[in-house]
Amino acid sequence: MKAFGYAGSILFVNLTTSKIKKEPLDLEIARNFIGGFGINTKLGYDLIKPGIDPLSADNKIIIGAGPFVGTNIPGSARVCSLTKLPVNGAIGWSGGAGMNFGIMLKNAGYDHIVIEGCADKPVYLKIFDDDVEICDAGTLWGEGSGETVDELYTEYGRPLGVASIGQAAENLVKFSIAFVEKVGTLGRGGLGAVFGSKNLKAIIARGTKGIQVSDRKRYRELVDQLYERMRGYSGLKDAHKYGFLNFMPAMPREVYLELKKARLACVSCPIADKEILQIKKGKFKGRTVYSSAAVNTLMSMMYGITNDYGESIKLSEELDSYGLDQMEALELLKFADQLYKHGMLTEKELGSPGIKFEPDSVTEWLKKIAYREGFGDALADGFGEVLKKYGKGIEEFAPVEVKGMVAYQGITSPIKTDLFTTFEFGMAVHPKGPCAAPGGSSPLYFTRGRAIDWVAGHLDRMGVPKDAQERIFTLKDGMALNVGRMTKYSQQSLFIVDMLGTCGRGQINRFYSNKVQAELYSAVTGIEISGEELMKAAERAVNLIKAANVREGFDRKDDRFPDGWFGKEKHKDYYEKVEITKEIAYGLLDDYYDERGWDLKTGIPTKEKLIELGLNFVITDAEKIGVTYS
Amino acid sequence: MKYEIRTYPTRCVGCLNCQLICSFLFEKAFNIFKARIMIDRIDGNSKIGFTDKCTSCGFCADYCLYSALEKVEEVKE
Repeated sequence: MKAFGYAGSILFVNLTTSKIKKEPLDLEIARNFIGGFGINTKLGYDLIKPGIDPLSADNKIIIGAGPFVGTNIPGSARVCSLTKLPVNGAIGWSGGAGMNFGIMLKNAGYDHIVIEGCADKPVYLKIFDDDVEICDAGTLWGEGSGETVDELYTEYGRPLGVASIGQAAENLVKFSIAFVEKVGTLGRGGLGAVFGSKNLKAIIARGTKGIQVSDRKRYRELVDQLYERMRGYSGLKDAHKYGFLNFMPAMPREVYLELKKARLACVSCPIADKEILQIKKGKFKGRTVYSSAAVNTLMSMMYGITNDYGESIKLSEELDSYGLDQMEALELLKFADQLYKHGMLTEKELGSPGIKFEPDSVTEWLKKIAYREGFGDALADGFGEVLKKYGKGIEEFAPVEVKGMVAYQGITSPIKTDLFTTFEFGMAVHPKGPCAAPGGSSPLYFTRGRAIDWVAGHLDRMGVPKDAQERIFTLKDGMALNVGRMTKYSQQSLFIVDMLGTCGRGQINRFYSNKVQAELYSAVTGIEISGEELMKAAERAVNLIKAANVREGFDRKDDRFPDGWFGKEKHKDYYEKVEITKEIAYGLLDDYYDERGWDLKTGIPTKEKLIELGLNFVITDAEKIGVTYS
Repeated sequence: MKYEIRTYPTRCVGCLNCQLICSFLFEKAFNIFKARIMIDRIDGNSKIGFTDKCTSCGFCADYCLYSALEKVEEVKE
């Protein structure tokens, strides 16, 4: 059967042996796991052996682009990665980073690439249709993530898909990430370091083969309806003008308009939320900076490092160029300073009398982390390792951390939020640890405080069954909405997006109902599927990645909320009537496991659930390594 | 039907929707290299060009959400 929508192949590259092979995509696996995040998960479960060192040649870099990538379905350029994460040892995926890379990979003929081994010198991987080559990285090694892109553009021209790393990843900073064409972030938790450990500087792709869809007439009717709805969207004009600021007003609009040089879109994106900024005054006047979103350049202002937009944008560029996860790097610096201030770290150990949160000092510290110099070497291992050494007696200034990463949204988190929604709840239960949308595509901040009917309307759109909605809306501890139960479906709704290859931004996925997603998948691939089956495929993938993490030793003990969230200041429920105590939060955790069909005591899937999802092989595999599912 | 396609490169964000729809309609597959409209985008600046095969059908403008392309005037054959 022809694989419409899919490119039809998986590319396997071994950097140790230089062996390159292409295997056909198994359409049975495609049907069960859809693509992108889903098929990545199956590949990762099968290929990443439990217990390996994430920075060893045994680890794999798996990148996939779903069946919608390469079509003109709005916002369908997304790639997903999966690897064993250096920062915490979890099998972690990341969705994001579209630009040209996804469609170029698909057009070259590959839905997924699997990279293993370790090159004996720095290399980059070139994927130009059937011409796949491991190339000498030469002087690219040592360059920033963005400079690497520019040099590869110069060498090969455009359009070109590029995923690259900066110096932090080369130096195996455990929370370093990869970038796609300067503005797409990929792999929170250390995908960048895995590239670095393999001596892999970049992956470039260009493809000319084209992507076909199965039923062109049906496809066009569906897509035309989407375009019509998007054109009629009242926020579209402002979205084009103000970008992500239209949805998150983190800087005055007039300041943004002064800084804005150009908006950038991933292929097929209707809102173009990436951008090029140009600093108009101050020390860095005239400098142009690429950014995933203007709001992300304000991190240094948020940390009180500067109140100058130019300085903040420049620091953000440095973080991106090194490939440092902004939140992890700045929180680690804050924590190190607190250790010093509390007498738990000497000036000699730190190398300075505290850490000044000023631009020059932070610039110097970012370099120390990226190049593992002085105490920067210790910080480069991330919170997991730092807390093993310095985690005693820190109650007063404990980092807001879960699974070795910053739970960055919450009542005491760097991005302060006040409700206990799927976003905050997800920080605890996401198998990989805190990330951008760990609780999935929840509408709760959008519908904040509105009647339950509003939320129910969104749940209908997301394909949440009526019986589940009844449980979600059953009064619990005075709360009219059960966030624990809702998170299951909210997560799965976003995983569907990750599997298909569409954008995770709420401003885009609000146009896609579960029904429309299923209709589009059927029209594109020729494989008829219902919305319910799509939701089931997402559940299958979640359970499989959970099982991959169970093999690594993760269970209920790791799904915890930061203690700081239960201090004097607490989250409130959706209607701001109930303060979320520790008891309430962990009660909701029980509900999450119950809704998932997982064991409440261990927080892992039950045998019954695995069998229901056709994941019987997980049970057999587990027995071989002494893991028991009840 | 033929149209005059007016281009506004400063509005272009590089989404390539025009190239995608063009290749889909004429080549029956999404393939930006086979489109009859070509976007060359460098550092936020776009150049918009058309190949000799362009029939001025105007679909590229229909699918441009950024008003970088407009079919503004019907041209009689």
